[in-house]
Amino acid sequence: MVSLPSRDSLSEADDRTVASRAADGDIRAFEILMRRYGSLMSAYAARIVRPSDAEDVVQETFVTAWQELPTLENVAAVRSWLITIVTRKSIDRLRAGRDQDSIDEHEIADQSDGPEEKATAVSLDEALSRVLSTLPDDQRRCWVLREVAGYGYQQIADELDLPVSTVRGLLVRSRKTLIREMEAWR
Amino acid sequence: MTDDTDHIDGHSLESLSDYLDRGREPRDLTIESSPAAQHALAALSRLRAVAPRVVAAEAEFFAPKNENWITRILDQIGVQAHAGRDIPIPYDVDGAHLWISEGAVRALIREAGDCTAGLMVERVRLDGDIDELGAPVSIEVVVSTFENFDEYVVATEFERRVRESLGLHTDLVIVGFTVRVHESDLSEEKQS
Repeated sequence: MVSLPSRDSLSEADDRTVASRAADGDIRAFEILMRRYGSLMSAYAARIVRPSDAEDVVQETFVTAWQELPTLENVAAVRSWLITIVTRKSIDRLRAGRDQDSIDEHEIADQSDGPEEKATAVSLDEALSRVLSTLPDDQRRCWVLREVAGYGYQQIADELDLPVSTVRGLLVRSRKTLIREMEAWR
Repeated sequence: MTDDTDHIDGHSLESLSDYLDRGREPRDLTIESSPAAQHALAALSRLRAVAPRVVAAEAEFFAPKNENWITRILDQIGVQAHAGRDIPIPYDVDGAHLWISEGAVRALIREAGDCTAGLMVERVRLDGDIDELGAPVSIEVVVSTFENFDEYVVATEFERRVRESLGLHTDLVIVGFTVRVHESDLSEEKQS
């Protein structure tokens, strides 16, 4: 019996194929999706919540993804769909933490928790990634929600419980810092 | 709170960002004719273009540290697998009810695909009152085929395997079998 394609070819298959199978209940295909995008989801989460909470957020993201995958119309776009979910889950986590206590305002321990501790950046993307890690939490969150998740000012203000004017100010400052780094890199 | 002290030919970085958000419409000549504002706009768009890459750039650094993270998720979702409808299996004992889940039938069809050289099953749909014993069922399968394989030959072999497997494990009355072929993205010698 020819047993091709088997495990190897599925893990090399494109997102549409893997996500289609996962949507149909193939848990092995879903595992491949998790391996493919686990780090990316974690990186997204860690830009919004405390890095120590990122793993829980990723777990919630994939559990929700598994439940809702059968209803996803464009399975080929599973990557951006996952990013939408991880953004939502990160904000939920942030809000839950804020409701519980206000000590989280000072996330000093996390400041030394970013990739900027590593050796010199080797690309513009990496260099900006490190600057992003050093930004104050609110600035970084606003920037990620605006520029990566595509949220509007009002939406960010609602999600982060901040006045719109503050969101605008935080965005200006994050952009300035990142542009300065980007220009220096040239 | 805003940090608008440095103006770029009379424009703040914020207003330039808004201008960019609006797709540079309506056209503002005071911006379009200012080299400094153009420079800032270019930087803003460049930053926007690299934004998704920046967040992804050091994904490995943020990768879940605990190797068990996948197992933990699988444990959690394993109990809520997409079983679908129950398909009855006749059994000659009073009061006994046997069935196979729709999800298990889809898995059998995927497996038949995995055993067929040249294709991979993507989606499976079972049409009909499968929860009624003996009801006619149509099966529609979306597959990818590999390059250098004859689609007709592959699909025929696949159907044979599916019918064999379902005949062995179920009592489905299959009245229709459709294979829809997606373009393959799997071949190693992929060319467009």
